[in-house]
Amino acid sequence: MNDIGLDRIAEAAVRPLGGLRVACYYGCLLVRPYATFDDRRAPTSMERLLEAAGAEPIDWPLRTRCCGGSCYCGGPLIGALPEATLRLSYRLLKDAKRRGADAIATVCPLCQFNLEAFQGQMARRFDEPVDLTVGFFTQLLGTALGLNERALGVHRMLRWQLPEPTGAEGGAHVRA
Amino acid sequence: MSGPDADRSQAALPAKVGVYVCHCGHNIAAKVDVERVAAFAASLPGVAVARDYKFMCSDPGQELIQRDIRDGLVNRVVVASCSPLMHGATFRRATEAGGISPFYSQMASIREHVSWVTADGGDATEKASTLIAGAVRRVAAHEQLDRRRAPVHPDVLVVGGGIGGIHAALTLADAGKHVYLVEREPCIGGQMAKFDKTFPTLDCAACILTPKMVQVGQHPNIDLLSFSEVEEVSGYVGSFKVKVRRKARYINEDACTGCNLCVENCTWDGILSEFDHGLGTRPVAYKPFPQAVPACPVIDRAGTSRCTFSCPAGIKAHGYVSLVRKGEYEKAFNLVLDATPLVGSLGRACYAQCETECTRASLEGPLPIRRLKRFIADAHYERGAAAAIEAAPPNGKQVAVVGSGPGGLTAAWQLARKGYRVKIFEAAPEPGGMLRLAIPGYRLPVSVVERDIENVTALGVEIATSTRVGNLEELRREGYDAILVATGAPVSTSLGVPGEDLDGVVSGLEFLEAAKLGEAAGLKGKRAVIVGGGNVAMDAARTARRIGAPEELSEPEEIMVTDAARTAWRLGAPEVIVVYRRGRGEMPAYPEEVDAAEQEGTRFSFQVAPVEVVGDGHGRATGLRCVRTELGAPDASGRRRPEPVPGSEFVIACEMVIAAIGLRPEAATLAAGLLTAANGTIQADPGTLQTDVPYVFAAGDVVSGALDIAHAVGRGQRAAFMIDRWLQGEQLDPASFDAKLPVVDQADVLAKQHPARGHLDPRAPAIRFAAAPADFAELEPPLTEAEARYGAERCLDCGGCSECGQCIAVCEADAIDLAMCDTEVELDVGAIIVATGFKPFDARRIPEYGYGRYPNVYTAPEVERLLNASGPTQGEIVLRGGEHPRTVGIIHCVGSRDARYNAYCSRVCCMYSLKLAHLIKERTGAEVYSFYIDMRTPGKGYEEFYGKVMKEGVHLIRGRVVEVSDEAEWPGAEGKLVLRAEDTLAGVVRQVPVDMVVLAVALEPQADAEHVGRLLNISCGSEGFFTERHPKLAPVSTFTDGVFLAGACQGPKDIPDTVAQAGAAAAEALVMIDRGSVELEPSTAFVDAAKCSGCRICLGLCPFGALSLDAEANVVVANEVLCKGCGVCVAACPSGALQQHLFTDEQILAELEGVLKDV
Repeated sequence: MNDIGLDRIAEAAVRPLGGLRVACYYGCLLVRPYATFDDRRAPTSMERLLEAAGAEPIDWPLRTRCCGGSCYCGGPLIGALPEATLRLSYRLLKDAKRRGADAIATVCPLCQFNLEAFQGQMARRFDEPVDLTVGFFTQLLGTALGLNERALGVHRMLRWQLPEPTGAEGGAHVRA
Repeated sequence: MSGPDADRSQAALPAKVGVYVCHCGHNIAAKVDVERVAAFAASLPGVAVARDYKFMCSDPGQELIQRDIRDGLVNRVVVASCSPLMHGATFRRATEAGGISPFYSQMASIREHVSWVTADGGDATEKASTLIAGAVRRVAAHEQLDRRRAPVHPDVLVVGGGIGGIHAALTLADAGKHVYLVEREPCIGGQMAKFDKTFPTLDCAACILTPKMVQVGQHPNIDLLSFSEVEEVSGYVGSFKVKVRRKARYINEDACTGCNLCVENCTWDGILSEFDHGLGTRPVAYKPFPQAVPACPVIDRAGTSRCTFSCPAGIKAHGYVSLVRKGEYEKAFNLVLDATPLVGSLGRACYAQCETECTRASLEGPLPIRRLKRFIADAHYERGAAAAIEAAPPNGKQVAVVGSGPGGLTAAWQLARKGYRVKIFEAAPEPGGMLRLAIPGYRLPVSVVERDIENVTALGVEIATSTRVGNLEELRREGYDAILVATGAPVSTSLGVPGEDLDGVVSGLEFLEAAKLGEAAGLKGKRAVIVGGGNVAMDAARTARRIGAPEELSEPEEIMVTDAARTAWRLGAPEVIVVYRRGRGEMPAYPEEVDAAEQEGTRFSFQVAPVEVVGDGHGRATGLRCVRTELGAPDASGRRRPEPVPGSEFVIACEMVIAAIGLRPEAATLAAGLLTAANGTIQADPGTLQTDVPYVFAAGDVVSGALDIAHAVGRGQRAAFMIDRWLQGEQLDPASFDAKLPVVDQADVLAKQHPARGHLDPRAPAIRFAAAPADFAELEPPLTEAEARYGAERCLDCGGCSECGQCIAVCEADAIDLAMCDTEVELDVGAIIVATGFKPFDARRIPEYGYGRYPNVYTAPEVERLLNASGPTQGEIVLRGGEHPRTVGIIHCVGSRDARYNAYCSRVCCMYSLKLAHLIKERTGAEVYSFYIDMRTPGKGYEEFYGKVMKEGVHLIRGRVVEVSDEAEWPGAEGKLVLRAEDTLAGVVRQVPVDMVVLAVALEPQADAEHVGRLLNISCGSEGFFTERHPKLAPVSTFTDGVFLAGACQGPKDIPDTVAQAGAAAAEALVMIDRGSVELEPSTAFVDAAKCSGCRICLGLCPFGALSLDAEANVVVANEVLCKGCGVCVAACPSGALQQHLFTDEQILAELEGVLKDV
């Protein structure tokens, strides 16, 4: 963002994301405990970046909330507390969905995997099923820049379903 | 300096030092071996007696010293004990009581400097001995000094008009002292005035505060300087000089009766109210709250609004827009009429500089200010009512105005209103100048111009048409006391090419005039070519002939180009072409006009210049030979010079060539000794418009060259103002005519706006253009009333006050004066009490509590305003949507007891949170959950209050709230704010969904506390509050003598403590005043004149201005009264001429010797 600049990114977006409603998930370690490049409690850098790419990020307070990933799939507590993980991740997904998100953008592979892989288990365990695409922000940015799906590694995702862009001008958000 | 006295004899004797080592109980004796130290002291040279004693500061201890002196055993005293700050004065007094100079005593600090800070006893004993050795040698070098006293001025300054300042002022005033109470807000009352009820008694804050406020306002001994700020403080205890800036209220406080009519009639009441913490709005003319003291309101002016500032016609644009917004169209009309009678004409033909400057132009588009003027003109004229403006009775003088254009008409109007008999002389057959004769009817219908002129003639002004004035001296002889020349710029510049005398070639102005007078021949079958800008060689010649910026001047004739084109269509021309020798980008015509001309069918040929008009041999034009141009380097006007391309000539076939190149005045014929320039303009003073002939004034295009209507109107006004002044024998004074507040900055205006007032839909009705129009019917559709109101409602009120004049109109006391300026007063006082209070913590700094993000998160001060009956919701506790909350969460310690923000406890929040819990529950019946860390209720009646609130069923949860979020984890939480906290007493994590969250924010020092501290020479502690002299024993005095503290500015506290401190500060000030004088510390600098070389290094260093140069003797003189003994000059003096009493080189070196030699 600092080196290239949001304006140039916006210009380079040949297939803007068409107002895709994305929930940006930073995870627990990106801006904590040391907030070097963004605010600890309310970071906005991913939102601004994806906005430049044509998406419409939603505002949600859970973007730095723990997903339980360290308890289940990686980190010091692997496999230790699957219940806790499922519940925490489910809360995140459910709230994102409630706020109208079409997809979640992540930074960390652990977050990404954790939020994506257990949606089936969640559907069995909890009352409201959640079905959301969870991708890396780079994949969303790449889509906007015109890279093909193979290059972005989309074929390796467990689920990848982005809605069609709405509106002739690429959705509610119009680049200046 | 020392003077002869009885004890001089002591100075001559050898020093006999008495050393007294104090145990200070265990404080010193536990660490230092005091007996050994005393024994050591006895062994020092010069020491006559050495004693140790448990408490030297006690009576028996002091008696030891006095007895030794009286017995003649000692004539110098060293006390090894605490510090000079603690007991320096005590031991000086004891020494003096013994019979010798008090300055023959010296303290060695073996407590603060030794026993309290040294770990090892052996080290401590050694260090104590060393310090004593130094002190013994030093005291032998001490001199006797005179004690000086400075007188104390009996007046007191109290800074800050909250409950603390009010109480201090009343206490002093009741004691018979004169008090100045300076408060920067428009009224006194401070934070307490904003509360609803106070704890623990639940007294209504206003009920207990207002009697004191009224007392202050009426007390004969209190000078209340409200809406004022302290700018500068100089001097020292007993004689402070304070400069106070009294900000302009624009209402004369002495004349104002507090009737509030101006507030009620103010046309804009949408300013976010600071008193209500932005929850409500207030008018521009306002009182912060109904019981304000003083009762005089303030008119809030940030500067001149951008539209009003930029109007060359001097019309209060913002004012009439604000009146339209209120539906007062007639008043709006009268406001414009106040400046000029040409309301209708300006509403159509003004080029609206105001709209370019409008702050909304940077958002969705400017307000339709010009079209609003047309709207009010049409509304007035359609109603057929008479204007509400009357003329003054005739004053017996008469003025002649030459020229009935916008300048002349405006000047005649203003002069007639003042009672002059005015006659206008107009050479053309119809009055109105360019309005009538040049601007085409589709833009400005003749009927409108005529109706505007009726405004002027209705006042009795005579207009003589078809009357050309030749000689001004003749007019003078006819009896006119003054003459205004406003003949405009009616002469056209010719094409300057061969063939321009052929039939069919006409100047732009002639063409438009003929069309307007109905004399134009039809152009059926005649193709028209309009030349704008002239031939290639034109510019140099034109620029040389003109004054002023070329780009300004070329605008009127460029408008003429498009006007001529569009007129040609209406006269039936089959084809209309405009030829311009530069590019489209360089053509300074208004893009809307070029666009309109094109839409009507005009073809623009750019980079084409005329060379010759080709004829048919019978004197009629058949075509225009042109050459293509290339754009070369920029010329003097900054535009690229057109260079003809050789061999590119071609002929445009046409029957009509209209040259719209330039206009200039023609004043040479008026004679009377008027100075004219080569370009035909009259020389007149730019400020007063007076020419070299004193009775002749000149205004408008005839002076400036061709400009536009708005400038002409403005100049006409100025001319009338100046002529009136001149005829009344007064100073012409352009400064008073031009006086206005500076223009506001767009960025500032946008920063202050509520986000909801961002981009709006411009909803500007567009003009429909038809190709080849056939008539001159007015094209621009008028605004409907709904459109006009909508347009006016978009106004951002840049300058605050719109100058609509309604307050002035309703004020029966004639107290409003918009020309008021800030003033400065200088006060002489002896003491200053600082009671500047606190500011609430900004809850946006804690984003996890959601303040500013979730609409129903409030701070406690905001809830106070909601609870207050005169607040924005009239005492109802409601959510932003208007409904009552059913559950409320209160979070304690927001910004307090938090290492990230303020580590201290704000002391009052637990109590006020309990109070709010009680009041909210009482008013709404809601369930209240209070999240606290500790419940701090220490005052009188506070515990009882706590119990009462608990019994009422308020839920108290001990746990710090982690975050406030709108995440709905379960259905019951949907639409609510969830507070998550660990309930530490129950050992569970609670998630409590509530409708409304109240944040108990901390009390912080004022934002400018450091600046105020610097002004008064007091310091702020690490937390930002002012530092008291001693936290236990001197909480209301500071280290600066004569400056006292009271209230929350010294540290967070509640109202009873504030009042107590205010009384204490007043008492301490009274001590000084009633004594009449203060003793000054004698450790001041003095100059040995023999050593001073006059190098002046020291002069600039003194922060107190105590040093000055005796120019004759070329030595520096030190003022002992101003000197505070800081020592900077002493250290800087290269020759040692400057020394300091009690810190002379001799004394310091003696101390060093003792330390180094005797141990």
